[in-house]
Amino acid sequence: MKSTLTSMSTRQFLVNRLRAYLAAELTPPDTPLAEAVEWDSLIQLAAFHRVAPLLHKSLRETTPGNVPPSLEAYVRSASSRGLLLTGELLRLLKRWEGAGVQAIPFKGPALAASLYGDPALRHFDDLDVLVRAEDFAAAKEIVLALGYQPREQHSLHESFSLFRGDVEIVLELHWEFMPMPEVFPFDPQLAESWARCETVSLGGHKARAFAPEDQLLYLCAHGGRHLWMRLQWVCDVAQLLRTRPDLDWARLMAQAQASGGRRMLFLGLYVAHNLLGAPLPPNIAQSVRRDRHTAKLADQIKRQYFEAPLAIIKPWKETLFPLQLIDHPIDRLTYLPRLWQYNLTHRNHHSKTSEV
Amino acid sequence: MTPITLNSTIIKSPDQISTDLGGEVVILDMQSEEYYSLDRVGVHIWEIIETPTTVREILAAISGAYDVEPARAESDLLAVLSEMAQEGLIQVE
Repeated sequence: MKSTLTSMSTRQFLVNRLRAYLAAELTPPDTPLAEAVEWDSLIQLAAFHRVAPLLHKSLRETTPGNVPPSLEAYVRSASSRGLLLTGELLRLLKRWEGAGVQAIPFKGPALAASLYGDPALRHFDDLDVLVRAEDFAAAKEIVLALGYQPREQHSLHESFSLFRGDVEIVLELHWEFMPMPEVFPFDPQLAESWARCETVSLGGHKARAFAPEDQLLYLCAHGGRHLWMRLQWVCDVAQLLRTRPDLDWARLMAQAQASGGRRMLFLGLYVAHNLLGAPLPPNIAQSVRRDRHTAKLADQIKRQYFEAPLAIIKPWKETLFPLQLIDHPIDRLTYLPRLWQYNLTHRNHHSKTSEV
Repeated sequence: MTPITLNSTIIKSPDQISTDLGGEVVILDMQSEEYYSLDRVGVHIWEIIETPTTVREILAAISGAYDVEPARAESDLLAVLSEMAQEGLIQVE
């Protein structure tokens, strides 16, 4: 991993670019391109952060004659792959619908479509879909009949992994939203998510999507668990905040409180607002900024975009960081013992998933 | 396959999805899992048929944009549309 060799100016350039693009500013506030940028470093950095499509689009819009061919090639290949994944997702959704299985696609093409209006603007590698627990068996059977192979060893507590070899597509079939609820006390209250889901257009075809409040909470939970390692996740939060002024903040705050996800939410909002200029209603911005704990965590997070990522330099950080994201003190104290207990009892986790 | 005339209506096939790579459009046929790419005039046509459009209307739109004699424009357009229909990217009514 060459991140330590990437200069500060290249890192700053990328963040500035993303900030400007997401805020829909017309001219990015930085120096003319040709001399200042180490292209190879920049592209590699953008690829790591999974923001190459956004970078590419931003460059194409501001300096159309000056897009490096290697970035062009990278994005073209990623877009083509994205199209394939989107097509496959649509095929699966259609089959499930036909069998009476309701499904909510999330991350991947669905998130790309609802946030950016175009599957090509977001890098994704696999497909994630949520089905109801009672439909899981039927959903899985349909996927297997379509030629997917089960991947027992890659399956987790809340999802089952399947693989289609001929086009190398991984599908994560979820019946729950967050891993290890016994360890990390975040209860996403899925029943309500199902009730509130909306519709998104995936290349002209309709699909279910999470309501923006649920989506935002999920993005912050997912990003937080992974130390906000990839700028893509921060971009997603910023883009959601920018494109959904209709967000029900009262409901979101209540939900965050009830699900134990308030700290996670605040951290995500803080980083997106502070780093990428994402808009927040004044009272929310104030609450978020005033939270000392959030500010401290956010500082660590932001630094990693200009130094090396936290998880890579200190793997143990990924275990302890979620500790700081837990809302209730008692839960924080018991986090580590519960985590160790969980790892002990879930060595044979795939035997549990097959019972579902 | 229905022969294409000036009065035919062109509709994008529901079995495809596409993305715009800036001057180039990549289309994926979800049935065959084959990729196609369009550039220049093809991209323009693809944009026009976002909503169902008659061949006559497409011809009028592109003739205005490109410096081609009308007869040539018509035969070129019919040829392009015929190929797209053959590949299943559009439907003709």
